[in-house]
Amino acid sequence: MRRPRDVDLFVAVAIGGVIGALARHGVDLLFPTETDEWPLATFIINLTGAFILGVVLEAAIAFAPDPAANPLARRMRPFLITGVLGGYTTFSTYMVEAHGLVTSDRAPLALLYVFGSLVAGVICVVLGMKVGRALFHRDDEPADLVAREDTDIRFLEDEA
Amino acid sequence: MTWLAIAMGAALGAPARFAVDRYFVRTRGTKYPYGTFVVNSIGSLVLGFMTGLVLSLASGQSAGWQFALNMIGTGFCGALTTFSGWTSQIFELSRKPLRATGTYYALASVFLGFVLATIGYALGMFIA
Repeated sequence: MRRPRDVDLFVAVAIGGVIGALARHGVDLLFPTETDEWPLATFIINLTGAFILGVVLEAAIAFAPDPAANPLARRMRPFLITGVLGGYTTFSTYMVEAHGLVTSDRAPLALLYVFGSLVAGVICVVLGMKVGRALFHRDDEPADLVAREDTDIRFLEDEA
Repeated sequence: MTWLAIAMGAALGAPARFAVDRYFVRTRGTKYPYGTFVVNSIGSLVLGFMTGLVLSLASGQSAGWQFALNMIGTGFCGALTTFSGWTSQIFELSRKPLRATGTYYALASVFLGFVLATIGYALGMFIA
C-alpha cells in the first residue's frame, strides 16, 4: 500500500468481502446442485448481486455524491460495492461451473448458462439502477444516460 | 469450519481485488476496467486448479483439503472475482459511442475465463 491513509478502505473492503462471501455460502447451502445440473445457487447469487449493485450505485449518487465529504461516505462505497457485493457475487465459480457442465457432456447447457447469466446480469444491474432512481427521486436521468466520448466507468471511479 | 475457511479467504480476496483495481485506475485511468478483467481471469484459473486438484486427490475429501478448497476456492477466488461489478462495467461500456466495447469486454471475459478455468482444472488433475 503506497498510501497508508487508505488502510481504513482496505479494512472496509475486507469486512464487506467476508459478509458477502458468507452470504454466498448461505445461498449455496439453500440450493445445492450437482456438477451436471444448472448452477441455480450461483445464478441466483449473481443476478441478485447485480440488481442490488444497481440500486446501491444510484443510492450512492443520491446520498453521497461526494465520497470525500465525510469518513462514513468515503468508506461506504468500498464496503458495500467492492466488499459486500463484490464478495457476494463471483465470476470464478461461474466459469468453473460452465467448465463442469462441458465435461459432463452438457455443452449446450453450459452455453445457455454462460450467456444467460451474462445477459440476465446486465438486465438486472440496469433494472436495479432504474429501481434505485425511482426510490431515490433522481430527476436527472435523461442527462445521465446521454453518451459522452469521455465517459468513465462510475464503478471504477468509486474505487479511485 | 467451512464458514471460517470462507471468511479467511474472503478477507484476503476482496482487498486483493480492491488493490488490483486501484493499481490499474492509477496507472491506466478509469476508461476501461482492466483490474476486474485481470482478477476475474486469475480467479478462474486458480479456482479451476483447486477444483481439479482436490477432486483428483485420493485424500481430497479429507478435512484439510476441504478446508483448503473452501478457503482458497470459495473464499479467496470467490471474493477476488466479481460478477456484479463486471455486469455494471459491461453496461457502462455499452453506453459509450463505441457501443461494441461492452460486448467485446463481455465476450473476452467469458472466453478467457472459461479457457483459464479449463487449463487450471487440467493442471490440478495433472499435479494430483
